[in-house]
Amino acid sequence: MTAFRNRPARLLTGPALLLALGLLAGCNKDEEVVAPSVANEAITTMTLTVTNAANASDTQTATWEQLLDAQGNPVASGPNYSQANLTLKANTTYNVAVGLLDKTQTPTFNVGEEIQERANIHSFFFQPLPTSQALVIPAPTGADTYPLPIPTPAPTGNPLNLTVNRTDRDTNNPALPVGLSDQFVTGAASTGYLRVVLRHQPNVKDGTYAPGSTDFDAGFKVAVQ
Amino acid sequence: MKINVLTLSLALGLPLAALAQSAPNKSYFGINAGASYATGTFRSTDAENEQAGFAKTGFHVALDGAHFFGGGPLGLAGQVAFSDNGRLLADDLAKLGAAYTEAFDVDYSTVRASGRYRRLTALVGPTFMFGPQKFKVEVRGLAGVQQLLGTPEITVQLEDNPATTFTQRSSHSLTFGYAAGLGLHYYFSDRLGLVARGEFQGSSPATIHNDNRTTATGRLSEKQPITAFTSTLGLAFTLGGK
Repeated sequence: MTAFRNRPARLLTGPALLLALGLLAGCNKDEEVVAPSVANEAITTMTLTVTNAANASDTQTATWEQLLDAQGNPVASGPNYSQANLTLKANTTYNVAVGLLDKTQTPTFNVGEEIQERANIHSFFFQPLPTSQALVIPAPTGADTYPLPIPTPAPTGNPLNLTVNRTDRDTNNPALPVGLSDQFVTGAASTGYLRVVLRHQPNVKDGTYAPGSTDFDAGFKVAVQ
Repeated sequence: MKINVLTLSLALGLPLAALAQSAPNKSYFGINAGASYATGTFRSTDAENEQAGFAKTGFHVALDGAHFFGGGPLGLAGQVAFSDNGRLLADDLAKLGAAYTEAFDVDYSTVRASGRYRRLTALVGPTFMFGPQKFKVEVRGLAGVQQLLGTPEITVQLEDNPATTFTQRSSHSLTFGYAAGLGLHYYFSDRLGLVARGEFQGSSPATIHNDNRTTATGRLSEKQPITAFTSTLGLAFTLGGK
């Protein structure tokens, strides 16, 4: 039995070497997978529901719609902006709710609820035109145009006296504006347009317009009187 | 559950039954190797669970030993072990990618993973060994530290925008670790024995760092619990005189 004395270290050497080789040879292969979405909803219709903050019965809606064909492309007839008109009182505050629909689905799908659920990666931006301020939403370049009825280039001259404040916040840290709920504050009588853009900003939302891509771009004619 | 009851019965019943005919214990040191079976959340492949580790069954090797006070049944055991619980495979990334694509509402996401779950543990604790000279049963509970040598690093890009890229970093956390289990010793001679062990290993959750998580959206893993069952076979070398 004493033959085993002083041999443990030698006996361990073999397994230890095998072990070291095993560890060194351990497979460390990288993997990469592209995961596509199963289905994406479309947005066809934006509705602004505008309520006088001092008079709840003073409510109006304005709707801008771009229907899509079976392939998901805008229909050739272009957007329907016949109902995209707002007439606001001067020096008045309005509470505004933005609604979004997907009319390509039956029944019509309420995309607004989806945006609410995914508020942390979405943001609405509002651009009164004409304006004497710096643009919140950059003017279109190249072949791009403003959404009708806003002319391209946008008219210059007396600014539309409308200030838009987004009143809802997401759950990011810090919390950032979303824009499904807003406040419109009018000044003196004026006319112009309001451009509303929904930006999709997955993991890049920082409160500014630039990051991400545009999910929807609509135009409204506005009169403050 | 049946396994737990059996383990508990063995742990409690065998000591009492065998203590009466127990031979003196010699201190020993040894080496053993075998498999580490990831368990629970550590093994889970549920992409909706932010702590699911997608860990696999891997390799486990340990150097251990015990000193028995006065040759009695009670001793102090120690173990230094290395465990590998694999890497993320394509199926795992497909699940993660689908979850990110859905959460961020994008057309597609690209998920890349590299690295493996690897860790070292250094544990000490009481051990209780009994049985006749050739065959002994050892029950021990150990606690100490666990040093992660790495966890899989996961990088996600949303659509084709590099600015969206975020990364779940490989963790090198030092955490509290513990193990408890049963060992069966069979001695060929005064000096050399064969040891089979089954042990449950656990630790406090490892900290995971994430880069460029701009928005509070999608799966975000910041803690990784690590639990595994190890089964090993090894050699024990006794120390001291007859």
